[in-house]
Amino acid sequence: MVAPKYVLALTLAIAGLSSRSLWAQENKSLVRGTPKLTKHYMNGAVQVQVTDKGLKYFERNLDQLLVASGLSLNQGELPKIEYTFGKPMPFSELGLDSETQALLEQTVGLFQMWVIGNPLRSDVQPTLQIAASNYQANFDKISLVTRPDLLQQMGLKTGVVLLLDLKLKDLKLTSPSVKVFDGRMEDLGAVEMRDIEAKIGAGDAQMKLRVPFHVSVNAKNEIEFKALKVEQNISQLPIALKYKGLSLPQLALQINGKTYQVDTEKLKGKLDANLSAVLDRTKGEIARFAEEQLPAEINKMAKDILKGQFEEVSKIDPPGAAPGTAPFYWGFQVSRLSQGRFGLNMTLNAFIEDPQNAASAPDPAGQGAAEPNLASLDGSKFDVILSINQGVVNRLMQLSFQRKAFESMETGKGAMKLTRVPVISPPPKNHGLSVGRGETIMKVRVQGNVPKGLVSAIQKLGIKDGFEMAFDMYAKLRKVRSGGAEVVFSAIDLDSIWINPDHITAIGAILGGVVKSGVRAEIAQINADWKKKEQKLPGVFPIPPEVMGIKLEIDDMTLSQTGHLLMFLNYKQR
Amino acid sequence: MNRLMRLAYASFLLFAVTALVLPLRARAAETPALRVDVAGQPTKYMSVYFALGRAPLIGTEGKQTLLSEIKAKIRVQLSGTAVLIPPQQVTKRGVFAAYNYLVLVFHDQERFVWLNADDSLPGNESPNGTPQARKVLVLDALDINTLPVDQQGQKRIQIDAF
Repeated sequence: MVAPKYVLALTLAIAGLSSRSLWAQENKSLVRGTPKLTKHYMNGAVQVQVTDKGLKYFERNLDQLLVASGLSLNQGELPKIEYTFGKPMPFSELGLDSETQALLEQTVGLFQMWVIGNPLRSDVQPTLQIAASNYQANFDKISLVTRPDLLQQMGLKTGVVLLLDLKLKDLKLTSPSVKVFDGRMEDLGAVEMRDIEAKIGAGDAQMKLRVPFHVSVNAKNEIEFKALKVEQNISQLPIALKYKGLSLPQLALQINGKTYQVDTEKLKGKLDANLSAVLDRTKGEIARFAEEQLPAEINKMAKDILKGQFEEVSKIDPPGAAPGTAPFYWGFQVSRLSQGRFGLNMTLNAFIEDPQNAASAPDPAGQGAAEPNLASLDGSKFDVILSINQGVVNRLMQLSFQRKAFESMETGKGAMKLTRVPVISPPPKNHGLSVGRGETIMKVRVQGNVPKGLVSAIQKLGIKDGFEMAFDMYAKLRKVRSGGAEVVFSAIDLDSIWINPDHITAIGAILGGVVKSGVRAEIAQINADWKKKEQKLPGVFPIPPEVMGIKLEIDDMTLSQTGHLLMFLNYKQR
Repeated sequence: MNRLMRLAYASFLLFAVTALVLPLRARAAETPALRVDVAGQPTKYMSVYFALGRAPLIGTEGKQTLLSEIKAKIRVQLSGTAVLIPPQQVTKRGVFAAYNYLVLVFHDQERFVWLNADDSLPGNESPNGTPQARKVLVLDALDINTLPVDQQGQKRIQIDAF
């Protein structure tokens, strides 16, 4: 059964869970040379909250998700197929009316009694040959909605229930030829219909298909998917069937050498007259399949496809590194899907690794709290709220620093050579800096050797030139038009200055406050210069503007007191 | 006659059911004609891909697009300012689009190979070549639809100097 695969592909794609294994089965992509990574997962590092406003969008606009998944449902093609029923069926199993069944049985009985070399049997095992054919679906609606009510009704505590709601104005199936025969009754030949066109639904009689499914993530971080009861109205829809040609077996009766042909035109007329009854039977069979077998088939397939943990690994450029530099790798693993405060919540574990530096592990001190505090947020104005633990940014900086891609910081008075990786954390609430829309302030602990000549000649007596110091710097994280965010230095907190005591000379120890006040004065001058001329970190932080292929624009962002970069995003208008 | 009815019934039944359940064959489709206006001559070559792919769960600027199958690849040696890419025959299979990404890659080495962000090689992509590029532009199907069309019916893409 392949239809369940496509329904599954559609639902998974829409749910944002289209796995590479599914793609690989369809598209034969090969994996080559992925480096071995020691993955240090940061649990719950990224949370994607699709708000009710954001979800509403998918009631009418699923195009972006479908495009991102490479699906195009409006038309499809069917291969040439040949299918033989699994076992012979007696007439009683064909669902014929009693009169027809009795007539058939009588005819076969007569043949068996009177005809030598009788070509007929009392059961049938048809083989069906359908030439390559096409379908065309005229969609009125393809939508996806969350159904917290169904989740509650079903008494489910975890995961989400999503409803895929399809409405088709009509569905057209065309095939150049359909041939049916029973291989055990070769002499009877075949019935063949040519240039067949079947159209399901017309006018107000729209085809409706609603597939609810429950998606959750279990304790092993494996995605569990369960299609629930499918609703459809196929049996209430008109089906118009046209065919241009019909070939029937040539039947004749011979008496005393004279042949009497059976009137095939009459047979065709009889067939046409009974067509609607045949189609009603067909609709019933499709409906039964959709309601009973389809969810079971989808679930069986989902189990195979989604087995194991869902993990996606991608290369990223090390921030601050020259183009062509060997990449870092980041990876995500879905750890929770839930009905969140704002709508749909997807939580991801994340890692960032440098294959050249496998021993490096994230510094626990750089991590924010396990969960962001979203209680006071108003999510109604945005489509998506993305929360990134500061640990992710710190990990990026750590690896860049260790790679020596980010080892100095331009102060405006020369480059400060970093001796420790800078660590970001939330600023105090009273930082006193102005913040525009799409900007946030973060505190960065910086430690390094100051540029030589920073202090004056007299102070040089008290302190080593190019001494080591540390301080808290307030930096602005600001969205950039091309995507991502840049770091602009705002101010150094003069009260946070630490000077390496080993770099203070004996004279400096005696002079004490003079040296420190001299350093403070120089730093205050740097602060003043930064106000006049912006000083930035080189490069752009790859802050994701795309989720599941949907392009997003940063409306606003803030580094919360829990150590989470909260980004308020809206779908990008195209 | 009743046997015929029976056979006809069986055929319709199977046709309808199998129409919904069987794998889909390939069908030909055509890509749009393109005119790419390139400022200067940034690189020696440009490779144009029409491909089927998917976006990652979390991504930045199309860089992590995972191409699963290359449907058409055209390599052009850049010499003038305008490059014309005639329509290409591509196949559409089943419920998948014929292509959903158009990728322009500017590179100096003669042979470029597209390697996905997870280091996988797309179907129909030769592994011979280098993945180094000076610039990569990834357009999805919605982007392609909104490209301006000139009087010759060519979709136009402007590449600024880089």
